[in-house]
Amino acid sequence: MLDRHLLIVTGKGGAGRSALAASLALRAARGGRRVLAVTMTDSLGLSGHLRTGTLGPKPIEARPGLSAMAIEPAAALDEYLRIRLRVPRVGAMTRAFRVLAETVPGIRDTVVIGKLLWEAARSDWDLVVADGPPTGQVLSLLRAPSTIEGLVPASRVKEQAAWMRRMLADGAGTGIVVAATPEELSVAEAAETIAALSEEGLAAVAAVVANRVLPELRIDRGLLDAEPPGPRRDAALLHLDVAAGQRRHVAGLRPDHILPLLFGIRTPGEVASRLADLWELA
Amino acid sequence: MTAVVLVVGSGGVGKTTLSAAIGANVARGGRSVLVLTVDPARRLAQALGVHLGSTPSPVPGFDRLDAAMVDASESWEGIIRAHADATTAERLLHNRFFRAVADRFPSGQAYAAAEEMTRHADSDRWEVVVVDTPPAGGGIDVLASPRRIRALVGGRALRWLTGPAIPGRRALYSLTARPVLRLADVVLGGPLLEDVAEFLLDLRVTYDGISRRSRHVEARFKSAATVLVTTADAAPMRETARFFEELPDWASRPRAVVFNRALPDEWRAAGEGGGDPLDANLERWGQEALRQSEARAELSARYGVVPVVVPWMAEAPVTAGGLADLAAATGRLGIEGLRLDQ
Repeated sequence: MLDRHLLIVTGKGGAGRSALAASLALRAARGGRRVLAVTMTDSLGLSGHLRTGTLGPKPIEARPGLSAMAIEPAAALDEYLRIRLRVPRVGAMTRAFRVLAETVPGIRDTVVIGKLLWEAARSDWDLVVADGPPTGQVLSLLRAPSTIEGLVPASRVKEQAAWMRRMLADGAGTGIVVAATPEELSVAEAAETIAALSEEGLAAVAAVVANRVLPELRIDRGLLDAEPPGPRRDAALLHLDVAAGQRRHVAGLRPDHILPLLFGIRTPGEVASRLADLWELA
Repeated sequence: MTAVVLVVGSGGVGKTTLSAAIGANVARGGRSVLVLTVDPARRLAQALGVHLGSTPSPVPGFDRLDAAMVDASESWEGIIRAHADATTAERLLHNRFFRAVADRFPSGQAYAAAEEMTRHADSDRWEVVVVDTPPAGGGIDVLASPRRIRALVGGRALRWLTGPAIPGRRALYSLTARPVLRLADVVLGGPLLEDVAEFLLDLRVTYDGISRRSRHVEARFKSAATVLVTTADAAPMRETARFFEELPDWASRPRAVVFNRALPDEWRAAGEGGGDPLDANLERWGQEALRQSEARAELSARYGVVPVVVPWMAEAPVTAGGLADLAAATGRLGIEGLRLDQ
C-alpha cells in the first residue's frame, strides 16, 4: 500500500480518518520514505495525531522524513492562478476568481484536489498521505476534475483537469483508503463509496480498513452464569455483546486490515503511534 | 408556539438515536411530538415505524408521536422554485453551469433541512419538534446555512458582478466585472464564467424571498433548545469545544450535554484483581472508564456543565418504548430537564 505516491483516507465521521492517515504517514516515514501528510478538512485532527503545531499551506517538518500541511482553498487557488494558469497578479482578476471559486463548488474542489496531486507529483516526497473528506463528500471531490473537464472547452484548464482525472484513476500511483468502524451506517457508507469508486473508475481502493474493533474475548458465556453480579460480569457481558454485533458488521465490510479499539489511551499522538505499530503491511 | 429541540454533535456519536429517544420520552410526558431524522440506521428506522418517509407518520405504540425523514436530495431545485418566478426558475435550472454542479451547490442540503424543520415547526401541528442534524459539520452547517445562503444569493460574488443593484431590472455586468470576465474566458478557453455570472444574476430575483425566509429560520434556531451529544473520543471532544465557542453565534447555550457510550464509574477502580480473564478484561475496560471520567471532568471544568450520562449499550433499543426508557433513565432528557415549558 505504501509504495504508491498518494493515499487518500476517507470514512464516515468517527471512523478515525486523521488517526489512520497520521499512522500511515508515521509508518512510511519509519521505513525511510520521505512523507508529506496533508489534511483536507479540519486540520486539528491531523496536527493532534502528529503532535505538530497549527498546520497551514506551507509544509512543516513534524519529524525527520515527515512533513505536514493543511490545504487551504484560498491559498491553493492563488497558487493555481499564479503558477499553473500564469494569470498576472492583477488584483481585480484574482478577486474575480476568488469570489467565483467560493460560489462554484467544481472550481474549489478541483483546486484542492489539484494541489494534492501536484504535491504528490513533486520529487520532494515519496509518499503523500491525505486526511481526506468524509465518505459523504469524497466522491464529489474526486469527480470535480472531470466535471470541470466537461464544462470548459479546449484550454489549459481543461488539460490540467484531464491530467488530474488520469492521476486519480491511475491505481499504481493513487489509492483510496476506506475506513469504517464496525457499525451499520459506517459500513454501509464505506460499501457505497467503494462501489461508486469502481463503477465510475474514479480511483482505486488501496485498502479497506475496519477500525476500532474490539479484540476477541476468550470467555465462555456459560462461565458467566456462575459469576456473581458485579463489574467483572458486566464488563465481560458488555464486551461479548458489543463484539458479537461488531463481528456481523466487520463480515459485511470484508476489510483488508483490522485495527483494534485502543483502551484507555489519552492523547491523539499516542493513538497514532500505537496504530503505526499495528499496521500489518506485507 | 411549537418548541424546537435541536440535537447537534460530531458524526458517529449517536445523535440520531438520542433524537428519537428524546422525542419518545417527551411524547410519553404528554406532549405531541414530531421527530425529524436525517439518516437512521435500519433498526432505528424500524423502531420509528415501517413507513418512515418525508411525510410525518405515527410511531407504533405511541398516540402523539410522529416521525419523518428529511429528504434534501433535490434541495436547490426546491429553493429556486419556491422563490423565483416560473420563467426565471426554468432558466436557472437549465443553466449549463448549474446543471453540472447542482448536486454539490453550497449549503443547499443543509438549508433544505433547516427549511423543512421550520415548515413543520410553523405548522403548529405538534407541541415539540425534535430535529436530528446531518452528520457533515456536526450541525453547525445547518445552523450556518441561512447566513451562507444569503451570502450566496446576495453576496460578494453578485455585488461584484453586477455593481449596485437596479431594482426591477435584470442587471448588466458591472464595469469592473466585464473586462475580467472576458480575460477569464480567454484563460478558461470559453464562457464558463459567463454561465456562472448569468446564473448568479438570475438567482438575484430569489434574494428577497430567501432573505426573509432564512431570517425566520435563523430566529427558530436561536430560540431552539439545543442538545449537544459527544463521546469521550478525541474528535467528538474537539467538536464539542468548537460548539461551545461557535454556538453562541447561531443558537442558545445547550440545555444538555450528553456523554454517550459511557462506562460505569465503579469500573475505574479495577486492576488489582487475581489475574483471571475476567479481571484482565475488567482492567482494560476500567482504563477506558477512567479516561472517560477524565474527559467528562475536563468538560465540566471548562464549560461549567454537568454532562448527562448515557451508558454504552451493545445494541440500540428496537422499539420506540425502549428509546423513551433510554432518555427517561437519564432523568434530564424530558420536558422538565430540557425546560421545554419556558
